[in-house]
Amino acid sequence: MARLSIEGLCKGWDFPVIDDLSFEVEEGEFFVVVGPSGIGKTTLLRLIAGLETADRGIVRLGDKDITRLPPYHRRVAMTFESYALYPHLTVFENIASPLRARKVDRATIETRVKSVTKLLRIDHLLERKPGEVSGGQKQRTALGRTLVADPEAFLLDEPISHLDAKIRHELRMQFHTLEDLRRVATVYVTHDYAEALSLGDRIGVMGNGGGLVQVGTARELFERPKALFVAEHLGQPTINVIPANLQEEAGQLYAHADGAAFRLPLTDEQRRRLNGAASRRIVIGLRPQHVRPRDEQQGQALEMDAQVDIFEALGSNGIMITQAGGIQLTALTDPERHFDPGEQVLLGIETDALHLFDAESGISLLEDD
Amino acid sequence: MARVTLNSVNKIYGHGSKAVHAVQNLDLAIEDGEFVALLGPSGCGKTSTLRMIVGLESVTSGSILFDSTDVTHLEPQQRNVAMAFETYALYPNFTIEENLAFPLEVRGVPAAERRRRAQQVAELLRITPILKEKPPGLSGGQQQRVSLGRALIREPAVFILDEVMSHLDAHLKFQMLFDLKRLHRDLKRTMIYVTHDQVEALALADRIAVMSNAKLQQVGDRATLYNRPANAFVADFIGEPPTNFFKARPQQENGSLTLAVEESQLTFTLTEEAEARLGNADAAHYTVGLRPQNLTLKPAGGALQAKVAINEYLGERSILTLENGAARFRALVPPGTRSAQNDAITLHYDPARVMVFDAKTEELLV
Repeated sequence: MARLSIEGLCKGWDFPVIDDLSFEVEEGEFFVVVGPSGIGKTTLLRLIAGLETADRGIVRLGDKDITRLPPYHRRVAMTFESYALYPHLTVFENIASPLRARKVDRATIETRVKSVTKLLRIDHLLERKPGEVSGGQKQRTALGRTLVADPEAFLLDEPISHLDAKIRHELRMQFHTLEDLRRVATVYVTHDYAEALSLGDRIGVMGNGGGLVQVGTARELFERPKALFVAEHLGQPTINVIPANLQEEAGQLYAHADGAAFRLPLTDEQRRRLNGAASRRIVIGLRPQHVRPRDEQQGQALEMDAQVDIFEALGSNGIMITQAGGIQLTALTDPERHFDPGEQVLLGIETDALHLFDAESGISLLEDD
Repeated sequence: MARVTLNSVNKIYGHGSKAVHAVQNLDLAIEDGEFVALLGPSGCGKTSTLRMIVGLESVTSGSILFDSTDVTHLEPQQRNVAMAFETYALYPNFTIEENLAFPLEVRGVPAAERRRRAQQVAELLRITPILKEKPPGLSGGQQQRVSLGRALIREPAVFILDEVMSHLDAHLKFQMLFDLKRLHRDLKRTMIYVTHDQVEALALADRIAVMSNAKLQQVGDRATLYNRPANAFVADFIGEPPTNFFKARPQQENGSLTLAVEESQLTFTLTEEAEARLGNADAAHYTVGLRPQNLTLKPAGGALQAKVAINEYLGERSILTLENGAARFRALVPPGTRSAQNDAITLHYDPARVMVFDAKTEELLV
């Protein structure tokens, strides 16, 4: 068992894909890397697995530098987005394959495969071939093959993204409860922020620069994003992004939207954190969950008249796009309500939950580093 | 514009012992200007149904009407229906404007008119700024919009969308949902949307037709499917996270009929109306359904005691996975909920939200 550390990793082809990327995953930690598709997440896993060669940087497992080791000497196991099962082998043989390759004796193979498949609830499918089982079962077979390998680190590449919602819930549950996964260092890659928030002990958000924009727990990332990129990537509907500037009036500091009447008074705490950064170009980030019809809220909120542009009842929330103070503002509502386009509604804005970012750099002005 | 009626439509592929009954006795009426979603898991028969409406697939028996015209045996091009697909299938060497206007060009519409209509459709879909560009440089969302525009430009009576969002990223999908809704509001055209994704179907459609195993299970608006599902399949398929189901047996408790969940200490109290109905039914077992959304931390009539197995923080909300004996269920709670693993917790529910299904037929009883 060992900690996995990535130090200053670089990889590029025509342009840098991974650029000076570093993070550490403790033994037993479940670390999730989340980011938009095409940003280099799979490349990162392939570098750790040894399927690609790093241009620079070090991959360490425990005390050992494994950067130049071939994949089969690394003691890491990886599952692929495409499952990559052998179509002509049974589920049993697919899962047993890494053990067979290591010349493990027959009785041990039998015991290991049986215990893993029972855990994954595919023990009734052992004699079937991949073509005869469902997508979720294929995914569990691929996962089983990774688990039996008894590695020192697990690398999981979008293992549940292509499955339907119900199976995703079930497999997410299994990732939470599989002790094999919770014993070693695991790196899990996904583009789905909900999956990341659900599963990660810590989460790294990968950005366009080829590095991690922010690393933290789910709550830290969602509630205290250090960059606009993080705030925009996590959450649905997407956070309201409002270009604005800071203005002082009668001793009160406001974030005032560009070219519109919309403005939000800042709290003393926000003012203190801004630390004198007056009258600069900023971006307000306001999560839809902090803008609700006033009659659904308890506690303090800034009241604002708005007009409903469009309303959707979507799963556990109603989503309302409104015009408020000359800007477009997305709000959440109770899903059982109904609002018509053109309807007037009194919104409550929880201003103490807003985020402020520098307009140029996108760096948070409230979350000190 | 047209009203679309399907009368006892059947589709059987193959013959004899290899015959597959893909659509069974489907009756469905889609009103003029209505937005209807055809929803179901893969293999349920929704794509066969759609292909029969378009005319790409023959009808084994039954009939399809557009208004009062029987189109059952008409060729696709005689039906005045247009379809947009999951794959965009744009011509890479044509500009967006040329791609949009192509169906009109094929029909010999003069160039000036083509340009005018392309402009109009582009405005509707908000792609005016990219009219002179070519498809390869565009995002998935933009390409999908062009593909929709190309189907729309013919001004068909019926507009069919086949899984048009399934491979868009979550954020793009979201934007697209609102755009499609706006589009329908502006065009007021009969639209049929085929998808396996219940969130899309519920968000977009006036009514949703749920299919499973070649049969129509239920047609209704969001509230009906959500609160009064015809059977356990619909209750399970609609809603996210999925509905919690419990095996339970009826028992008398202080003069009231309650439902005791097997292999756990959970008991469901019922409304008086439900008690009266089940009192007459006299079954030994029922399947109880309760949505994760309908379990709250605030007192509300009925209560369930449980131990927290997992607390998943998801930003806008948290999902608690709870256990009591062998029963496992989920509750949707505010994101501020700090309950940790093994904490004892009480969840509350409104007895009117408890759904009771026949244990065998799985049909909704109360």
